[in-house]
Amino acid sequence: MMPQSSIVHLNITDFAAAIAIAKDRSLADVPFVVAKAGAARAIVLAVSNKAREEGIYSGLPLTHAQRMVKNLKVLSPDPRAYTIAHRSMEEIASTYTPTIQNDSGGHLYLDLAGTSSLFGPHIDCAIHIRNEINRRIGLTPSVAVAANKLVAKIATRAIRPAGIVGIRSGEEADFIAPQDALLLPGVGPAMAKILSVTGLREIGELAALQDHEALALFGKKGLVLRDSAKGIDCSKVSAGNLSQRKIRRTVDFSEPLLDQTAIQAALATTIEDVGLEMRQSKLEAGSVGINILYADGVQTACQEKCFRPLQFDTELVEAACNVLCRAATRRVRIRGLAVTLADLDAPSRQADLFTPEKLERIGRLQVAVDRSRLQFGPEAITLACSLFHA
Amino acid sequence: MRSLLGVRSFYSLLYGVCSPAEIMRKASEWKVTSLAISDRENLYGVHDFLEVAKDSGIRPIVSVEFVTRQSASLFVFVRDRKGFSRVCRLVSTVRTEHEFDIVNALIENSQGLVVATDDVTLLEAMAHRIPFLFAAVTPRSLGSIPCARRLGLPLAALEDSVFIEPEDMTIHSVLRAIALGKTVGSLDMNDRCPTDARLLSPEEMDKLFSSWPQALEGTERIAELCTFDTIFDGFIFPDYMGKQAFQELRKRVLTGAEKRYGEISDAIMDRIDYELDIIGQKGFAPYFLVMDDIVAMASRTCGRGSAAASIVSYSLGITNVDPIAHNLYFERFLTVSRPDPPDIDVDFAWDERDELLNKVIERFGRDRCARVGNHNRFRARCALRETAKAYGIPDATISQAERTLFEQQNIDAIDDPLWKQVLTIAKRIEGLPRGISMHCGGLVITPGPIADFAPVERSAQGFPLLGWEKEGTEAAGLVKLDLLGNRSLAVIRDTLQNLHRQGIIIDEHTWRPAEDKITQEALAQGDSMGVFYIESPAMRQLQIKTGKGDFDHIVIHSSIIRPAANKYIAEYVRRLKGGSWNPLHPRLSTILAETYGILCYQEDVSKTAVALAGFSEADADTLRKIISKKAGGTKLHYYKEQFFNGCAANKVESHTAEEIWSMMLSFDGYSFCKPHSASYAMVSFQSAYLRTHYPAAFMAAVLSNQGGYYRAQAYISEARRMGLSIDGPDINRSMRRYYAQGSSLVIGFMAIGNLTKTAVSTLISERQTNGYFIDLNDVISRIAFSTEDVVSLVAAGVFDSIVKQMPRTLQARTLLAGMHKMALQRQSLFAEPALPVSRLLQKESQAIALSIPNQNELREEFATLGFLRRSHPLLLWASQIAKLKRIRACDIPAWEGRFVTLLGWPVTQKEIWTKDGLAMNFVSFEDETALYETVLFPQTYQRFRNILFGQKPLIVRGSVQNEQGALSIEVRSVTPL
Repeated sequence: MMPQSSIVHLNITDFAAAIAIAKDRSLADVPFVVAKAGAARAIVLAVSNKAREEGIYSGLPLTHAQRMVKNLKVLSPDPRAYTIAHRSMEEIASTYTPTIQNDSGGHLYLDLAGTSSLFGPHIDCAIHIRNEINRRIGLTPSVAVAANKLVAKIATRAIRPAGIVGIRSGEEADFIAPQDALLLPGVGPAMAKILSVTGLREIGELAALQDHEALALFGKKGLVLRDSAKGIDCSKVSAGNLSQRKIRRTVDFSEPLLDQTAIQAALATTIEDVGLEMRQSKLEAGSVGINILYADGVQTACQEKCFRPLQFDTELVEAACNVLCRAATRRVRIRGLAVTLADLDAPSRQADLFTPEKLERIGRLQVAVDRSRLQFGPEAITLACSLFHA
Repeated sequence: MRSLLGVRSFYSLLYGVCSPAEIMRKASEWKVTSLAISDRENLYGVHDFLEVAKDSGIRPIVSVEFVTRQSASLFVFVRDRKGFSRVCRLVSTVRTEHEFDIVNALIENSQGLVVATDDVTLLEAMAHRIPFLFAAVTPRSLGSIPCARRLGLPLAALEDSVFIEPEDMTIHSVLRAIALGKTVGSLDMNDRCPTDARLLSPEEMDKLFSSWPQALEGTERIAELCTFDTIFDGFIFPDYMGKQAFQELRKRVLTGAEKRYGEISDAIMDRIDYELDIIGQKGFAPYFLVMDDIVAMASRTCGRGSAAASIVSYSLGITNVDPIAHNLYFERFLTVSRPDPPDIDVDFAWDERDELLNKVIERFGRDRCARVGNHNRFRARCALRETAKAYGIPDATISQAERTLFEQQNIDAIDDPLWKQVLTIAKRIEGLPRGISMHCGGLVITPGPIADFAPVERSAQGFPLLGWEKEGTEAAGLVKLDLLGNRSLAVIRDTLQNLHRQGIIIDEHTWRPAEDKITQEALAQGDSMGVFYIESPAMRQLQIKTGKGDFDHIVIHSSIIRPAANKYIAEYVRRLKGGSWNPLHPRLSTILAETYGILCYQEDVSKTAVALAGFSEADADTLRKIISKKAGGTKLHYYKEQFFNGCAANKVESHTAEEIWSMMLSFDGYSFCKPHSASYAMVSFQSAYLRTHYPAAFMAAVLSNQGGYYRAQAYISEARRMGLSIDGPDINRSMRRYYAQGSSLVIGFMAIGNLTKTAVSTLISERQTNGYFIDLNDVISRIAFSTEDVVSLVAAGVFDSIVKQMPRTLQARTLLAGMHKMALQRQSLFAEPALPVSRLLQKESQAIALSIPNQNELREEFATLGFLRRSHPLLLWASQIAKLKRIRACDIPAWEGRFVTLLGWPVTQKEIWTKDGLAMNFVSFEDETALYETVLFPQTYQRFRNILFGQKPLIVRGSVQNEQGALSIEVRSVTPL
């Protein structure tokens, strides 16, 4: 008996647009696009169904799209909402399997191997997950169950924007052979041009290429492409490295800030919070990261490895201010920021025989400050540079 | 103290806030006697400053602030002409040499200069080594006083100001944020000036420095020393043969006139003598000789502008229109009384111009030539964008506001306080200079090193660049040569060369295209796509309406088609077709007779002002200039008054004066003088003649030179309508550019999108060396193309002629497989004996051979070339078109006054705004049979504008209208096919 296909791919078409509709149902009947406002020559990142009907597609220059549809609604990308949606999808899926690969852009791979005794046939399980995502988040992914990630992805692309398809193990080639070659992952505009001029329109035609033909037509990537066309994919559903320890705080400003002093003050306050948490966990930070959320929804980030592990607020603030300067590359007001202390580890400082007196004093001071703040609240004692924010 | 020194204007780019005029106004209020504007390391604003000073009664002092590498300020004031020359040299060096040491340069030579600084180190370094050195004290710095005492230097009080009013600090901060790519929130102290860097009145300065009266005396002493206030010291030409220049010019003119006219009649000689006399009196002979030398360096030229009214220019070959035969008004070019220098604009083939400029610079000396500068200023949109960015507002929000303000003109919709502040600041920075660029063709040549006459820097392209704009250049007496690029000259050149290769030689000495009847008839029918200047739909419609294609009418049409004169065009056509009309005034009956009583040329404005309002020639010319430069405001008001008063004095009725004045105002912005129109018309005729008699060579040249009014597809369609056979692109026939063979137009490889230049040069070179390609195997064995090049070549059908109906998909696979195999064989030391590649490949290819619909090949062909080799792109929609009930465009004349449905492939469009500010559009469409014009009035345009772009067929419905003999469709609806 052939083994049961166990890889599920959940694919939310035009993820950004779908999220926007999920947040605001009134958008469902409106042609709109999601585009990165900060870019000088912005291109369309995602398209609503109504906008697609007007001939707009992802990758089209925004100005072009705006000419095609009068008063076209343009939404900025909302990375925070995407992250939340991804986390929610992952949370739903995690009740069925621990093996989840959470890719960006509305793609989730699950490996349901060994779960059928608990949840029934994999296809049924996939349907449950899809329905739950729909009920809880308001998104409707297309779903495919196949023997590997590649075939599952081709399948969800073939049936999008929504639908369910199951491909039995051993029937992959039969399923993908008649599909459009452009559905193959990795086929971009340059490859598409070669495919068109050489008359290769279906995946099956690509799969039939001999080694030398594949190499001649597509160069070094030819064999990989041909093997993909055969449905060959040995990659595993990779859950990612979730065990990395990080302490993270985000701060949202009541209105976007421009003044550097105010932003640095907010940063100092946030550092005091994460610093306290870190020290309570008896850790020190090997790197400091700053994510900046701008008024237009664009995010920039920067992380810096510290020259030595950091423990105290003063040194953390100094490091964070440097990272902030590097992260704040745009001339746009800042809506919020996130501070991440990473590469956390137990303090490894060897007790010097002759500890510099200054360090010793700072350490004692920090302990006293932490104690006061724990006892009387964070406002009880704070760095002077954070007062602007307060 | 009554002198203010060390004041910065907005010419301290993205630093200073106020214009020289604003500073001067304030100084006048304060009854200042002398004022020195010291901008940072430039003299960009010196002419503005001197100009506004003239009317104020304040003595201007020319000055510059230099900033050392240690950020110390050095104020340099100009005492006399030598000092000005020295300061020009210093500014030029500072702006071109990064390592330049200004302090040592001043120590070395400060002739004609006064220097002041508050930096103690600099004072110590320069003390007693610079004759006129002052220790500066400023409202924020008294640190130099002890040092001055110690070194025995006089003190001088400087303003060191950046703005006038304290609230201008906000503007300064925004400018700094723009300059540094920051926001006003992220500027630090070193990025901007101190908050109190405002201009102080003499009383405030007196009070502030009451304890150091010697500093105030020092200020006055500097003002007394600096008496230089006029840059103009006569016109500056290159020195050309010294005193022999005039004789040399006369000799060349007479030789040229003999060539042009054969025999020099008395009338011609009189005109030559008249012009040479004026040129001699004004000392302009070297200028003409230089132009003559420059023109001789190029393949062909078109001298244009008012210079075309000169028989001297015509005889020298600088211009190509006979001013006597065409009754061109020399005084528009040059008179004894007019103070301005001659202005000769010459066009060169666009692809030769840069090389020509380099040749000119080499010929006259790199240190004696410079391109004229342009001061880039904040325009309204740019000011808004940049200010908003300085306030950290996201791009999308800015774009939205831009649309609201500029497209919807709805300022009331902006109610956010932040945006209101942005708008206020944007309004303030609008018009401020923000950078310098290069004028499109202006070049100046000087008799000695140019940096002694004017400040020079280096353009982004590496040319020496004047820090002054055209007006400043002229104000300094530097005579500008305008050397411009023109595509049509290259089109004519290439056509003639193509014909030459086919054994057809046109003798340009005897070539009289304007007299050719067939060419005139073609132009009268609007057959002018590709023809210089008269190919636009509007111009072709005008040709059709008038039914005139002779030279004189083409000259009128080239001039009357201008944005502000639309309402006079219909009247012109009516009169031309015999409609009755009376002269606006009897005195204008002769002046405007040739243009049917309508002001058509720039000089008509001057002539009318002279005839009706008694203007002098010089005043009339100034009026013409003010109108054409859209210089409204006080100057125009002054001349308007003078005009109406003059008309009244001459008993011209007020409503006639009003009507004429309104017609004069239609010359604002873009307008031509008759000599210019005639020069252009001559180029139009040359190209029209070639189009009429040698259409294949002409259209090939038009396509090769690109950049015409239409896309390549439109020209290809036109070529087809002209009965030409379109061939290629073909591996054995095509060259890089298009060319003609008899009545065949052979498409060049340049038409193939994404094809690399290397592939083209390799292919052509291999073909020229080893002969034609026989089949694909031959190609494989001789050239190694990249995959991308193979794909582009195959998609364009380049190999079709050598493969005997092999589908292009198979061609591509065969070529790619073969080239891959050849590459492997080349890499292998022990390669198997090469199999005959074709047999091998055919066998291998059979397994994957697929039958691809022809339609797919056509789509790829269209995507690659932008047009189809053998048919109109509408073929791609053949099945949908077959179902459409429509008339063909060639049958439109039979449907006059009726409602029709047409198939429309958009060719070009021109959006205009009605008097009420509503947008409407003139769109040119074509189908497989003909080109046709349409008009979409505001309501229709508003409804269908969204589908009127891109390359896709549309269904056009509307009624056929006949407007003064030209048919067009008044569109009711446009829908996608």
